[in-house]
Amino acid sequence: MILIEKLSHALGSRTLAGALVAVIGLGVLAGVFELGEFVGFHKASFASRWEENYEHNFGGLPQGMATFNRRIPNPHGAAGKIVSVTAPTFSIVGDFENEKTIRVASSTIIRKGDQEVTFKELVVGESAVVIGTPNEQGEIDATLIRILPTLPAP
Amino acid sequence: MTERITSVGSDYERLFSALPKEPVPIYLCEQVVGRIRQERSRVTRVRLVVASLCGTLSAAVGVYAGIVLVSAATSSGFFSYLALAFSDQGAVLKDAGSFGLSLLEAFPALETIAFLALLAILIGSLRTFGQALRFTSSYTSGALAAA
Repeated sequence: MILIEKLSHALGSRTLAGALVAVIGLGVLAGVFELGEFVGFHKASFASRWEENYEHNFGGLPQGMATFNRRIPNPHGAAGKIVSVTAPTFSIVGDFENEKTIRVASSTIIRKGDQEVTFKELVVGESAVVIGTPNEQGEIDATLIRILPTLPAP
Repeated sequence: MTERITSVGSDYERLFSALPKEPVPIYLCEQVVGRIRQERSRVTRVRLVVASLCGTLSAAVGVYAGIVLVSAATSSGFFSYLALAFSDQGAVLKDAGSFGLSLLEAFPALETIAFLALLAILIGSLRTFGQALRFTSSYTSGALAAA
């Protein structure tokens, strides 16, 4: 209301100020909706490919039987514990206990502490955060892997 | 009198202007002011009760919602991705698109909305409670001064 008052004072018309605020509000709403649609589309596409390739990537359940835990896995990142390492990929169980396969390329940056390390230094049981892009096999092509320090047990 | 009311129809402003202007008796004035004060005091009491109830409930549920929000943000990996912005700024800037999307995908939107809504209710309740309390204290001090 204060904004409308100030705008109407500046524009000299209360109707114009109200219309301007309404247009800006609708624009913000449309932007948020578009963003949600964009993110949702990426998540759904990845979830579909993840499900289709579950047997190939993780073994176990036959195609079409795999379901993600509680929430659709995030396609552009993974954070959690490394559960298996098979060059050039490794698996992470992370967000909402969903397992993801991460594909490592020569351009992937792998960091541990303040040093850059190689793929060989990825160890099962370590925690890692990965950022990358989803591929057609339901995997994530990693661009950055940050290996997190393991905290001593209390 | 009835003729006059009928002649002015439903326009009460015209009716009052048409009525003979007589001085209002003092006892009536005091009664009216007394009733207004009584009503204000009743409304303030109701506001105090409602605001304190809403405030207590929203604070209690807000704490729970806050815990759920932090838990959801941790489970989705939101904090882990966010930490990369500080630890690996260069690499994150190189692939800002994926980083931004990973943050958006992990963002616990529903939990945040619930938490913010409860926070808004709490702030609104505290504001109403404060206003009602101020009115009560001014009313009490005014009544004491009058006494």
